[in-house]
Amino acid sequence: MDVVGNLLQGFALALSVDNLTACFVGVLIGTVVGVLPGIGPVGAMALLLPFSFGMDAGTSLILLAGIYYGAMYGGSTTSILINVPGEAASVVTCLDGYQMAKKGRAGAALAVAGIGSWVAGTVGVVFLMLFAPPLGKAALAFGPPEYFAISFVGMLLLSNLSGDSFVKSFLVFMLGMMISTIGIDVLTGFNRLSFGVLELTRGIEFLPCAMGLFGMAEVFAIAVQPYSVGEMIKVRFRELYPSREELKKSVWPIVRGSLIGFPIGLIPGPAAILSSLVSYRLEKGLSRRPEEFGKGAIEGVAGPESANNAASAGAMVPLLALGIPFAPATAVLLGGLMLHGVAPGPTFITGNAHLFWLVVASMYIGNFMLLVLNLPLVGFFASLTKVPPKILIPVVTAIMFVGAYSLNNSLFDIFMLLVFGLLGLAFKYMNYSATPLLVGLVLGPVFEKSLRQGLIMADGNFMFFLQRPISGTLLAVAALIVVWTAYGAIRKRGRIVTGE
Amino acid sequence: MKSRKVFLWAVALVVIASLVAAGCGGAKETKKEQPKYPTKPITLVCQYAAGGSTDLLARALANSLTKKLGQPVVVENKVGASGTIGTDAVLKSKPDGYTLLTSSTGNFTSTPLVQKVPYDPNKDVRHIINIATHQIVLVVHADSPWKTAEEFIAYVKANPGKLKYGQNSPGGTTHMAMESFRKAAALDMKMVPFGGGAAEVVAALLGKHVDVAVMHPQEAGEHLTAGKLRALLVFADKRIKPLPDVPTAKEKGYNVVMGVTKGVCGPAGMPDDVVKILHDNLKAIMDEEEFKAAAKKTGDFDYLEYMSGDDTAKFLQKMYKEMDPLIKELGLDKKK
Repeated sequence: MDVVGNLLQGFALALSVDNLTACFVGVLIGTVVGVLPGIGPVGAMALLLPFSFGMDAGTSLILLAGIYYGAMYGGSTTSILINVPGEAASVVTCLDGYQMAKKGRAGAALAVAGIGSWVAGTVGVVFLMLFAPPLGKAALAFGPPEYFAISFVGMLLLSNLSGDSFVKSFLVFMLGMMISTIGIDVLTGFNRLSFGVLELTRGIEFLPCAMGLFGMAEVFAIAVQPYSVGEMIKVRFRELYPSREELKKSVWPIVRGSLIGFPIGLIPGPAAILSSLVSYRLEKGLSRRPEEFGKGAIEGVAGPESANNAASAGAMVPLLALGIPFAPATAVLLGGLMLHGVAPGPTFITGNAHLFWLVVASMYIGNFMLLVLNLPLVGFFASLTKVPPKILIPVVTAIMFVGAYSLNNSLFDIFMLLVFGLLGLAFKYMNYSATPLLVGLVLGPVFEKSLRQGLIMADGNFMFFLQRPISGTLLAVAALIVVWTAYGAIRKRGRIVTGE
Repeated sequence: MKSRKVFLWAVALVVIASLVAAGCGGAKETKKEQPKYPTKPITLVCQYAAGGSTDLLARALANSLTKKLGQPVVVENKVGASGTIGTDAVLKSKPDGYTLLTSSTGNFTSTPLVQKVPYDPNKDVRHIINIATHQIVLVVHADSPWKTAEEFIAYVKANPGKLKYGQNSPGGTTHMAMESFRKAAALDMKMVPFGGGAAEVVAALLGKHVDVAVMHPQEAGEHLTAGKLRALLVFADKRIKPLPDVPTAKEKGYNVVMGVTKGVCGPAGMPDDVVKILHDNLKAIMDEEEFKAAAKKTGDFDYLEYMSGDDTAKFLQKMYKEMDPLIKELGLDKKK
């Protein structure tokens, strides 16, 4: 078969010393920047771009791509250990991963995240290899009305991720949407809600906000009650790895995460974050014990951590099939390709077949390297939970400060980290979940932009959204969700009434 | 004993982590100025995202300049607010030639007109050199019925308000070029704005969500070559090298000449000898094979255009004056 022949040829090239080294260095750097909060794959890839001047096109693409998907492995580590998302896409892993660590199951969470990442990463490459050209064309069918419909469905499904009271989480979600409107409006260039503060015109960034609401809030909470965290969890080495039962529970979430993560990766913008949120929501919905989510359910780690890896493979599709980068990280990859005189476009896969198959082959190898690299580290990372809080907390705080600063080399982001830390602390005291705020912050810009673009296209006619097949179908699904939820709520209330 | 070992490991990890992070941050301390220049690393600030076209050019320049000057030239991305944040940081820095900016048209023309910026786009800057000028083209889908600019203009005139045009820089140079053309040719079209780089508007045009779009030729490059998109007009003084068959708007009788200039500038008040050293070295770099090869890769090669610092300043000021009434007329300066 053509695919097999091409792939074997790709492997033959990818197994050269240069390419193997590039692959290893790439995934290693990716893991490191994934583990460190703040510095993400985009920054690391951009820093390494000049070094790739001297390499040939294939080798440098292998290196840069390695950083990109490697970061998705490392991102979960700090989420699980210290409640600080190392990568934007790993925010949702904080919810259950950190709770597992508190119960002494950090090792299990880390191991499952690693295995899930490997499975999903590999499945993602298979999809990329088989379906890139047709999927690339399909992605073009999505215009502003379709993105509006996607974000609307996302809003309904994801605004109440934590399962609190609907009113409470929707309020927090709306707050997140409002925060997302701060800064220069991309559609008109107007400054909004920046009150003359130059840094605010950039908008509120996701990572300082997420690190603040989770990590910094946790630090503040411990600082307020320093004597309540005295006891340490004793973990024996054998317990560092997941039990058979934990592995069994993770199988289906990993499979589902891999399958839904890939298509979500095709959505422009915050695809990786969305994929992990959707996977979490799905696992919670399917679980027989949804009440365990948020208290250390391993499914809540396995699913999302798989989904974001599959999404990173999905995000390569528009880049390789169309030459259009839908995410900041793939934009840097495009830059890397152009530096070598290879301009990806509609003819890239046929015109540069050897390069395409080389990258695909290297992604198989790289994903395997990542698994081998990450599993032995599980024990080391998990034993970090044995560090007493009086040492760990100042260190964690320092890491967060450095991470926030390194985003834009700006002190303002450290200030934002503290502001959101205090907000997160207030949420804790008032029993609000902070996750809907982050969902609002992610979905807000897509929702607003696509709604406005759609309305401009249709001269303000809302029916336009329903007339187009894809967006119409998605909006019908949204309507069903509303009806179903309302029906469920009424039935529940009815039961309570009759029960009394 | 064991917990102590773990603690040491943790400390080691954190130290490494902080070192890596600090390294990424880029040192910016300014030491005492010495007569000889340069005696320490130079920071070339790029006000746009890493991996973008300005960033790639900055890195190619930094690479060549490092070899010329014998001191490392480091690219630092200070992104945000349409480049205002990076531009402001450089223009407010010490004018000693150690903090430079990749100058881009928008920060000295349209952005200060649309938004309130904390610097004076004419007085606070010292332009050193212009390296490249990127023209703007009018692009349609290859399946569309319009083969020439005349056919397109005739269609829009016959169907006012029916077509949708996409642009990805509200109040920016590409947007202004299209608006001046629309005004000159008296065309009635709906404007659909896109954000987040040219990728979105190219995708929207390919997916036929808009009928026509304005962009830089290299942003549509491969799609033009592959015959998926078609360029109808270029808003330049004369036809451009990569698209020799595409007529200019001027040829068709519409005097619209706008483009994005890319060069290097610094804060006003830099010593003249430092500016001269930088200008002469950069000018020499433009003729070097290595830079030309790099510029071919960044997509700047076909657009390389040398202008002295003073000429660049004049060119930008002229465009500033042309855009001023246009932006006011479109009501884009509301939030000033």
